[in-house]
Amino acid sequence: MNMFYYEPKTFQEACDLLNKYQDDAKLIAGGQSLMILLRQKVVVPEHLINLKNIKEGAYIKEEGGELKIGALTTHRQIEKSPLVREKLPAFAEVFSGIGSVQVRNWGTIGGNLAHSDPAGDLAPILMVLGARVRVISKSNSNEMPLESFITGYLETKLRASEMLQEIIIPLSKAKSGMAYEKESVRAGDMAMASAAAFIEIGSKGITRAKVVVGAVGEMPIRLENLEKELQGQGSKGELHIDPKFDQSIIRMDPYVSKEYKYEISKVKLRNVIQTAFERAKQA
Amino acid sequence: MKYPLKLHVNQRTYNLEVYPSQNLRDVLREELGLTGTKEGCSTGNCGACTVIMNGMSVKSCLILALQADGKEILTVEGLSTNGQLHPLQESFIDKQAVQCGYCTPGMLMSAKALLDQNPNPTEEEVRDGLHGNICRCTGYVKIVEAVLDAAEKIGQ
Ligand SMILES: Cc1cc2nc3c(=O)[nH]c(=O)nc-3n(C[C@H](O)[C@H](O)[C@H](O)COP(=O)(O)OP(=O)(O)OC[C@H]3O[C@@H](n4cnc5c(N)ncnc54)[C@H](O)[C@@H]3O)c2cc1C
Ligand code: FES
Ligand code: FES
Repeated sequence: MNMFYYEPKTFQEACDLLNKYQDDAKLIAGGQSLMILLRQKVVVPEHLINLKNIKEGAYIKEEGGELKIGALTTHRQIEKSPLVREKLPAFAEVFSGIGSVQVRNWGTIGGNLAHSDPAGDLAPILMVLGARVRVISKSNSNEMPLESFITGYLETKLRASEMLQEIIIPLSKAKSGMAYEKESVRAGDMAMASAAAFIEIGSKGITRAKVVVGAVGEMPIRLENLEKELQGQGSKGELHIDPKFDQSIIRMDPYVSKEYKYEISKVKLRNVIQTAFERAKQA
Repeated sequence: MKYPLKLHVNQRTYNLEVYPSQNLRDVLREELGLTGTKEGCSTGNCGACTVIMNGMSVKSCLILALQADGKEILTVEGLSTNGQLHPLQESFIDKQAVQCGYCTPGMLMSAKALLDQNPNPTEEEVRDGLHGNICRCTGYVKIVEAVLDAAEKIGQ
């Protein structure tokens, strides 16, 4: 089949192309997930739209107490950004564990989230940070919480005519801390289990906790019961963390058993909650 | 349908026509005959296809050839100048960091990108810089030694 190729220079041009070709079009950013699918012919688009020439799509800025990151920003740009390192050091740190330098040099944050691989590192962290995404189409532009954007295994709310423009991360004004850990076969590989926690504290202990278990399920999952149990804890020091969750969400894995994934998830959950709490105290 | 592609590879300019689905590695190897860049996995895992594009190391199997349009590409063939091996190549020989050699071009390009940005890396930084490159033979120790050795030579 013939494949046609486009290089839009602006988000508007890209949206116009999507609007015209709808389901027959496929966006490519860094290709670090898509190239494999193209090669294996899992995805066979008639119209391939390269986003890499959208210069306005790669940026990191602080605006109104929020960090705004363009969808075309590479992992490496975020990892090395002085602004991210200053405002969200625990977030900047995570990037050194994504693949390798080569993957981070070309892969983008927008592609990572739009691909919605449950083993990805960014969605769990951005979920606990309360991030939102800006979804645009030819004539619309809407913000939604990342948590509702991700709908399943390699699935998101994006419709054929829509794309990701920006990721927005609120910067907490409270004393807060965040932590993320993953377990993988080799360091830098995709996670087989992961956990993220964000904790805010006041004079009476934890005032807000957000906890996500990643990689084991069809998508990263918020553990709201655990979050409630953490509420108010820690005013006298010790936390009581019981990181159990519904095991039926755990997917099969070629490497390890479901039981192992459950146990390792609990270890990771315990670690990240404790670390986020310590970081909040030191903030 | 084919599209025009202008590639600057090892300081030569090539005007080509390629299909949108072609990756950079296959164009380098099959259209330009630059077979130093290796095919290992085609899934982004092995790093044998690593080249330097506008100063950044990338896996050429995971880049659309058309995305490299107008960019400066350096492959292993471009490492030596006037028949003089690059210090990294010399150190790989001196330190016996090559066994079967299949990973070597990718290792050299990752190491070159690292040293260009960080001329004086620690052992840990070298290991991080080479993390995306798999070697099935050496066990990495001699490769890391070679890169540290080259960094020292270049620094002198
Ligand atoms: C060896 C290797 C190791 C990796 N390890 C990790 C890891 O440890 N952790 C991790 O999180 N990830 C890992 N990844 C995945 C990596 O993070 C990818 O960069 C990322 O998943 C995809 O981003 P991309 O820009 O390359 O997107 P692409 O591959 O170009 O696109 C991915 C999908 O997103 C869509 N898309 C891209 N941009 C947009 C947009 N702006 N709007 C709407 N849709 C869009 C595409 O149409 C496609 O469906 C790894 C990849 C490789 C090859
Ligand atoms: S062939 Fe490109 S990473 Fe293996
Ligand atoms: S020398 Fe054989 S793979 Fe590295």
